[in-house]
Amino acid sequence: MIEELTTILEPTPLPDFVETRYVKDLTERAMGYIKAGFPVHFRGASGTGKTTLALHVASKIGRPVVMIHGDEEFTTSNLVGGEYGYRLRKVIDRFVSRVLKVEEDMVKRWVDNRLTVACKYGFTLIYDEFTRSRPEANNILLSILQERIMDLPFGRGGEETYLKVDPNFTALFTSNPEEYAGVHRSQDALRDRMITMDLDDFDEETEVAIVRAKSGFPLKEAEKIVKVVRVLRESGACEFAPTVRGAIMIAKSLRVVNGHVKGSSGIFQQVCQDILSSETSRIGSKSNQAKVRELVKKFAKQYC
Amino acid sequence: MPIKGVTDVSGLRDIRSLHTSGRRSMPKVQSSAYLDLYMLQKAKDRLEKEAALLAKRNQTIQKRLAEIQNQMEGLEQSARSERPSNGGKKAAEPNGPTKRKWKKFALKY
Repeated sequence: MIEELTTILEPTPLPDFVETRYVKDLTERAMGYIKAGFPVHFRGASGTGKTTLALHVASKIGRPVVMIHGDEEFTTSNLVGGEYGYRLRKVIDRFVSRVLKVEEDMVKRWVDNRLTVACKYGFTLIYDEFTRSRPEANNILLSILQERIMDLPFGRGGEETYLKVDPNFTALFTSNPEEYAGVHRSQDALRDRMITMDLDDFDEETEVAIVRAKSGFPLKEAEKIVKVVRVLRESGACEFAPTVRGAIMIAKSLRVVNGHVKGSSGIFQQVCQDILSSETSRIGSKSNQAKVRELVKKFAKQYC
Repeated sequence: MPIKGVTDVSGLRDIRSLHTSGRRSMPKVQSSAYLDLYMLQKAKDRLEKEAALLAKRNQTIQKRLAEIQNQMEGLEQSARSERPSNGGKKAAEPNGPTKRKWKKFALKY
């Protein structure tokens, strides 16, 4: 007997989700590749909107979604399914009073995991940060994406060992090639089966729109915050370039403390320095922090 | 060698008895013709009654057989439509999830 994980996701955009020309263009391109029958892989550094874009594309596809987050500990059974516990059946038959008939039957309980459920019912699979899983755990995806067939173990409740992938099945992948910890290289064979869209930081218009939508700041204020972050990013002085997340953090934090976007404001300076110096430093060296703090101070005064 | 069923085994009814073969121990005399006629009439009535009963039983069996045939045709048709294309035992139709109860989890992005 086979059991299945039965929770599916329904991605819906928040009211403050921003769909600028840049986002629309990316979405339309991805939808085109999906319609052509190819899985899409969003690759980019942290804060480039890979996961959000994958969720957005999945919601446009309109099918139920299952999501897997890549992890070092993953094995094939975490994707496909496995034996979890036993099912015991005991029948005591006293139909003839002088005869005691006892039947005992113990079978392993098989549970289909998310990938199998998605392939079987034609759901949209989002495999977020798939390079965080070890490459061998992702081998099962090779035949799914190319031959549209899934190999299943013999012990799967006495069912067929091959599963034909539903034609509606779609796969979306995300990965961060610049991550320096806890990632593996993606297999060439797997990457070759998907269309990879390299995402860069959002354009200025989109970043301003996102900061406005998330914080509720007026256009001018949002533009100033984004300008400071972008100038710092382009300066090349940071160990890790600040992303739109930094701008959102600054804007939201300022809203909470009723701060104003002014270069002369102490609160604004403090918030920018705290957020941007921590975001841009991997190991938190004091010299780097001091350098970034000085730059932030300079840019805040210059642009706000 | 096939095993014989109950209907294939000869029973008491198949043994020719003195009664059914019309033999008797006493010599036949003219005056006993009325008695013979009476006995044969009784046997005829009994057998006719039995034949009528069997005809009725046969009619009931034929009616039930026709009903079973109809039922089987209907079930075979629905079993064929449930059979999945991949030869598996469970149907994996593309529109399966709409028929199935899934726990839904809203994910806002």
